[in-house]
Amino acid sequence: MSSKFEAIKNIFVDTVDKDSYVELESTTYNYKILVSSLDKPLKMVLLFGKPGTGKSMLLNKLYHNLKKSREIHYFDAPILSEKEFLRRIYESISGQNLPHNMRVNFDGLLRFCQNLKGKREIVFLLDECQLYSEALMEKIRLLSDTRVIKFIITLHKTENEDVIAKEHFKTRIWEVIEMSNANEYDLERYIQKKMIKNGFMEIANIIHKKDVKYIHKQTNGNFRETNKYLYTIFDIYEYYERHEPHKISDKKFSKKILEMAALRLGYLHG
Amino acid sequence: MVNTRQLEKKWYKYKIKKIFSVLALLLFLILLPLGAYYSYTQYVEKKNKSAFEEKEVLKNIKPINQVMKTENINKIEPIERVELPKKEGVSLEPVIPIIDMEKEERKKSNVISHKKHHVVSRKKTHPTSHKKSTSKHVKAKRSAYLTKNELVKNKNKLVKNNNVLDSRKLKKINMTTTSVNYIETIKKKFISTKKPREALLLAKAYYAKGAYSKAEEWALRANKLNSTSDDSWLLFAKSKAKLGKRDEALKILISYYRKSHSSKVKALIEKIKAGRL
Repeated sequence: MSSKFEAIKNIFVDTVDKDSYVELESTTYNYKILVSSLDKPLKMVLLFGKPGTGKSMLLNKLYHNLKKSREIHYFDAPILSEKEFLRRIYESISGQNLPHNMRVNFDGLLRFCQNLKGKREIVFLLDECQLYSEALMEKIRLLSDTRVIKFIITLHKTENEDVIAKEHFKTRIWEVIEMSNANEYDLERYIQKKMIKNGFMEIANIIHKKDVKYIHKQTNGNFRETNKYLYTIFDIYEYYERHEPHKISDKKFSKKILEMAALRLGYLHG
Repeated sequence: MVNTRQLEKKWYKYKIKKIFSVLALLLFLILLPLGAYYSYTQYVEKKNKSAFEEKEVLKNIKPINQVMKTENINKIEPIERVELPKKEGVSLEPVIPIIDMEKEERKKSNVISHKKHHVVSRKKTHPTSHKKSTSKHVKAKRSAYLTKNELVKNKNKLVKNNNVLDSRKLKKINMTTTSVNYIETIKKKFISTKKPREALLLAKAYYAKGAYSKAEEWALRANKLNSTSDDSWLLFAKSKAKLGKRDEALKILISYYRKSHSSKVKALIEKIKAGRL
């Protein structure tokens, strides 16, 4: 027997795909800035914020929206090996696979890029850049200096202070977009839109402002935490639906279940 | 799927804790002003009580004549034993005076022998008589005896001393005349002011003079004007005791001591009991 709460909880599984993206006032604003910065002669664009503020989601959305109109490449996972990173850059630019037992010569790659000046403009989206080594970041800087390759990088806010402080980044990062946690209003829209989009309007309607306020209090409006919290809430709902349906109501969002989920995730201490 | 049953139990515990903490907070918020109010009222009550008690003590001290009436002192037979309120470290038990009879006798004989010696030395400055008078009491060394010449010098000195003594006697007479003047002056002052201080001074003056009945009378007057003064009670009792009314004096002092707890009064009670007044 399938449960509707099982389906609802799966909406909140934390994944980065274009379907999971929810347009909110703040995310739409950041998206517009990002798109406009691509048309400017900028070498690098920095997207930074705390984990779970939607940086990866925004990059993903940008990639899927622009992949048909621009030469754009998205490295969703950080590539820690320099050799592998250069191979991926080479394959993305040339459209050819690197033969086995061969490696990319960085000077050769730079010369190749310089030859492409004025002919092509390639955008690379790099997620989780705080994990890249300093040497690799230096190579990224040199590649962006060719003005053929443009990098859009994401950094965790806690890390950016160190990275931005470095001279080579200071001069090259021209656009900085800061991502922050959602406010109560945005969080309410986020939850409702996500549920309505997946056809659970009646459940979305029983989640009132006070419930959202409580959720916001526990998660601070962090999207990743909110997804995790709502997943746990609907997981408990699913259990009651299957075993003790008299304990839940379709008309009122249960405060008890909200608190139980908060206890489960350690937001509250019993 | 999380273990929901366990989670539910955890939630119930959490809820109970939360309710208790809210109740405790509420209780605290209710009790805090109540406690503050209670302690404040207690403090005010205590303060008022102590002030009231102080007033009551002063009120309860009646003048001597009233005490004498209420206690019916004149009818009471001589007291055998008076029970005083016990106080830590203070004993009002009667003290039996111990007199060393031998010492007393020795003193008396010394005084007599000195007198005799003086008389002899005035009439005769004979070394043998001097020797006789002192040999009974003092074992003096031979070398300490006076020579004839020295005795002549001593005789002259004694004459001079007698003259000095005479002049002192004259001075004494003058003093008595001044004390009479003093009493008269204070009496006049008392008539005009009617203050207890003057009455007390008169009582003291009469007591010093040995006029105990007058001293008693003036102490009583002073006490009527200010019944809380220790001195008027003490002087009245002392005068009574001197007049031979020892039991009356004790009875008055004890009744006053019960209210005042004065150390002076206690000391006088002991003194009268011991017969050392």
